[in-house]
Amino acid sequence: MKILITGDSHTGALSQGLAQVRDGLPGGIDIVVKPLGGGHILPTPFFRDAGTYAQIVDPDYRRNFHRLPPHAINADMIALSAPLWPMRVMHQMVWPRHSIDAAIPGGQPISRAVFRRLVMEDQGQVLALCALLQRVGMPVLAVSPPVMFRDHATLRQMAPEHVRAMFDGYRAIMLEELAARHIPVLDVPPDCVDADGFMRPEYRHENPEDEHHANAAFGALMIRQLAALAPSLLARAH
Amino acid sequence: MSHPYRSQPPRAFWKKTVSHRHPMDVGDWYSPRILFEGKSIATAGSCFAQHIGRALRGSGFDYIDAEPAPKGLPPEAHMDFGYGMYSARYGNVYTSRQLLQLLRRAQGRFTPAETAWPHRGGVVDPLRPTIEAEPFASVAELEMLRRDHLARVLDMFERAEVFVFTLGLTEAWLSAADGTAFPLCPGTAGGTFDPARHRFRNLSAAEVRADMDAFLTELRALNPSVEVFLTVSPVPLMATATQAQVAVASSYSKSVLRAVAGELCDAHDFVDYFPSYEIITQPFMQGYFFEPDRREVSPHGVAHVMKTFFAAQGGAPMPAAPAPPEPELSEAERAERVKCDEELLAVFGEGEP
Repeated sequence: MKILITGDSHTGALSQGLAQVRDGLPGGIDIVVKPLGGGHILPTPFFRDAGTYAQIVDPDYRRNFHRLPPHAINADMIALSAPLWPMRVMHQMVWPRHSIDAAIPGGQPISRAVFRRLVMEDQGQVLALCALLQRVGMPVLAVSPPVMFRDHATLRQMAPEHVRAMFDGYRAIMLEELAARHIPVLDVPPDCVDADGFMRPEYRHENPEDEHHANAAFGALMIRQLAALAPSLLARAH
Repeated sequence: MSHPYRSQPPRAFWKKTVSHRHPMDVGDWYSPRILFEGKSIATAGSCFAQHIGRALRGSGFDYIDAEPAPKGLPPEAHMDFGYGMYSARYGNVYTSRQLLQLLRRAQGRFTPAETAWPHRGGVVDPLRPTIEAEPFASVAELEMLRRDHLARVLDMFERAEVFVFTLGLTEAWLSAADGTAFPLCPGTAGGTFDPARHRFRNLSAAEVRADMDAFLTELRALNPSVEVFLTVSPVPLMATATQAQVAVASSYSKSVLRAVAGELCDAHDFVDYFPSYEIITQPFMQGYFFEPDRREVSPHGVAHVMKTFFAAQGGAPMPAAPAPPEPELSEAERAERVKCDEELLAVFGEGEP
């Protein structure tokens, strides 16, 4: 079984993790990691529905793929690292001091319904891509990026409980949307997070200034998990 | 022989102003008493006021948006959540009673007894029941958003230099307990109509005048230099709760509102009246500016009203909307993009198709 992992920059840790664990993968499981590109492009119309495939039209993404599913990689399943990364919406929320569930000094709360709309705006293209892949018979899986590290920049702007309410709220909305579309999710293993729900520091990126990507150790964990669960995930994706 | 009409300008005479003219060429509708140029403007009122607000926003006036939409919400979704309709998210303020109570609520001087109406598995705010397409999930969420909303309304009333209000209706649904004026009849968009708790009141001219006098006094106490620009909505009632036929009921409502607007304008030099009502509804216009339902005002009508307004007040009538600017990135977003690019470059190098 061949699994193509693609999506945003969180594929970096997955690729590094794959390099560490490739030799120990169960027989019959082949995993390829190749990114689309920067996640900031995901909310834009980066592909065109060409009937039997998604034609990638964004110039940056076309440097990696001209189409999905790709001709060159004969994948049995595509795992997308894209639907579960809340930071684009978090930036829209945190810097202008928007919040959900509670007002913050100097800020402007918004309703859960408005927040959901922001999430759906952010992920509309990704969900459309998932739908297209499903329609053409390509099983799709969502791979979660890491959750928040304790030193993420947004946590310096607003009390952690407000930031987390939005981060977790985003993920909850997307998990619900993915479930409604029968898209299985490879989520962050519980052991990777501390009691407060933050990523454990041992999975933090080696660059001290990068507080949102995880490292190869996290990638390796996720790849091992993917390989172990691949048959059941594929069955669920079908 | 001398008499007062001799010194009247041509616009005072029907023959010189209207007769034998194409309706679209009838002019001299309005001489401004208060000027908008360089002033911060806030709007509220019945739906016709939305057109005025949109035109002001699009024409370079300093329009107050005290409750702006979050950055990621696309413009086409703003109205679904009550953003951009008026200067804050109060929805339509149809009656003078609602307006007065809005100011008092913003100042914390009036708290309605009915605070939340159940609706479709959630709750709505009785004072703006349709402000979002879906009900709020909980009373706590509704109240949190209402507190923020009213703080913003107060800020708007405090800093507006011109407050534009379109008087829309005299028919009001009031709480029997405390007189709260609801924008919609309980039961139509939330809540349950209860004849013991809710009563209908068709406000008289004296009541509208009293409401507006109180509003002007209290607003000027808060913001002594604010000027008030009144219009009357030309949109007839969709339905009446009186026993009258709907057109007859509309006529009563609009006549009362128009008369009170005129009285207020005569009584206060900081109040101006703009005749959008007359421009749309005069018999010589032959209903030209109404849509086929003979109720909604057509875009031509709105454009003609605003052209008249801008001719008097300056500004450009509805210029073509410029392309929306690329949303600005915060430093943190920029930094994050750089980190993502670095990560992709470090792990994958240059990609090949």
